[in-house]
Amino acid sequence: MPHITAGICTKDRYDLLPMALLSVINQERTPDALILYDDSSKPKDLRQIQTYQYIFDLMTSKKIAWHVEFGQKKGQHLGHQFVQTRAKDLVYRIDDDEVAEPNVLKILESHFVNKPGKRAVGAVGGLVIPPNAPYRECLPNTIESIDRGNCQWFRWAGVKEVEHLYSSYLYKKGIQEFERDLSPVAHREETLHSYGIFKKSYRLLVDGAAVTYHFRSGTGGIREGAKQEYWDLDEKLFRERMREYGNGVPKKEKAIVCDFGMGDTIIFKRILPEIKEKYRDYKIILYVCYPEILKDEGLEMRSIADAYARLGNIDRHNVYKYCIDTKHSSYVINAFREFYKL
Amino acid sequence: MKPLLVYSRGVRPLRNGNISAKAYPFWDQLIALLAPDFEIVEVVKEPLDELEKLLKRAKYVVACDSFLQHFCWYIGVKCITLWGTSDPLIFGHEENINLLKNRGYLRPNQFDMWEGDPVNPNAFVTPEEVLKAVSSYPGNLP
Repeated sequence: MPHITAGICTKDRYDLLPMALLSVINQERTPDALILYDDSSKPKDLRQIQTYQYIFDLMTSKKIAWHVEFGQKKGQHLGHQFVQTRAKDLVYRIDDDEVAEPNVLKILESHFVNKPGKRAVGAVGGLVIPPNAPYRECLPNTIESIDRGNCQWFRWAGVKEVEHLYSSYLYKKGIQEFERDLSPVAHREETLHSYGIFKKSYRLLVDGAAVTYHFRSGTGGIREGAKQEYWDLDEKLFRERMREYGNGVPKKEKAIVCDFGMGDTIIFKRILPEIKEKYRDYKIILYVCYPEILKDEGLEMRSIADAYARLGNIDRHNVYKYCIDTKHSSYVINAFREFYKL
Repeated sequence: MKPLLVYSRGVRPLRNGNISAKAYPFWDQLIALLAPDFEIVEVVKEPLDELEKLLKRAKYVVACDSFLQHFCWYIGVKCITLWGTSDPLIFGHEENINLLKNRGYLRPNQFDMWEGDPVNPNAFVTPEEVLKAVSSYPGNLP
């Protein structure tokens, strides 16, 4: 039986974290070890918090060798790499705002068997969904379709071979390191790691029966307070790595969320030529409330609902939040120019 | 033939069903004052291309802080814009004629949602003042 180390990297989510921890501890197939990598801005001594005392006692009683490591506030990718170096055989990567069904680890582990005539399995993921996620046709999860969604975000049944994985998965130690040059938001971290495993001729699988719930939180986490340029830098790095793999990756996408009224959409339309010029090397995707105003711009348009589904918390795209945060006091068009750095 | 005056009462409906504090409260009185001298057309939800054509034919356009004032600005048509508690120096355009009664009525948090803002008719200029502004401006057409 392989040795499994669970790795949870956390940042400023001490309230949510017990849920994730307990879901890992209470797996039908308990992990042999658990490493909590605490990258919080003000790390706490969890031994002083009663809930955590119980959790640590529970792990000890279940013979899970646990360890808390404090991060350098440089991002969870470094934490996951730390976990990988400490692991023995398999590593169970799970985020700090996720709750796995008790059978997840057992299902994921079951795929690590050698099948005659097939390449070895390098990593297996399940679904990582909100509790009310709909059933949907399974998406391809290839690098070419990276911007078109992910099969792990919706319910479906069966097992599928994929090219990359997202968020929570079980992988073999030592095949692929986590990308160290990512920013603290670690955008594309799992994609880079899992695709690296795939490129080394291992199979990646997604099993639709292994369900982990994603309790997206508005507070804490690696993305809180992060700057847009972090995402841009990580996206650039991701595209560079893909080119190094020799992939004809589509143009980098620039998502612009126009979650505002008709009048503001008109103001946005005025500065759109400047945005097009700035992002001329990108495929610009507009998430809009009023597509009729922008229909002649020759850009791909998607709904705001789609923005929530694809981009998660869209606050960082919100020009009005920027206005509030910066106490903006001149014409709105100036705020747009500042916000989009034109 | 009377000159064409286009106006819109429209402001974005609020999610809680309240009347928006951006809505000009004296439209009926204003239209009654203007009616003898103008051919008046109210726009509600015309297709944008038709709206643009109409606005470019109008001698005057009157609106409150709404889509129409932005659209006029975008297509190069001057709009007489009636302001209440939102700030024309933030949400307006200097190319328009912005009628603000008094900056003292501006709401403190300009980027707040409108759902909780009370309607305050005192914050707006009177229909007579709008008429005066219309009369003192020669209009958009030669």
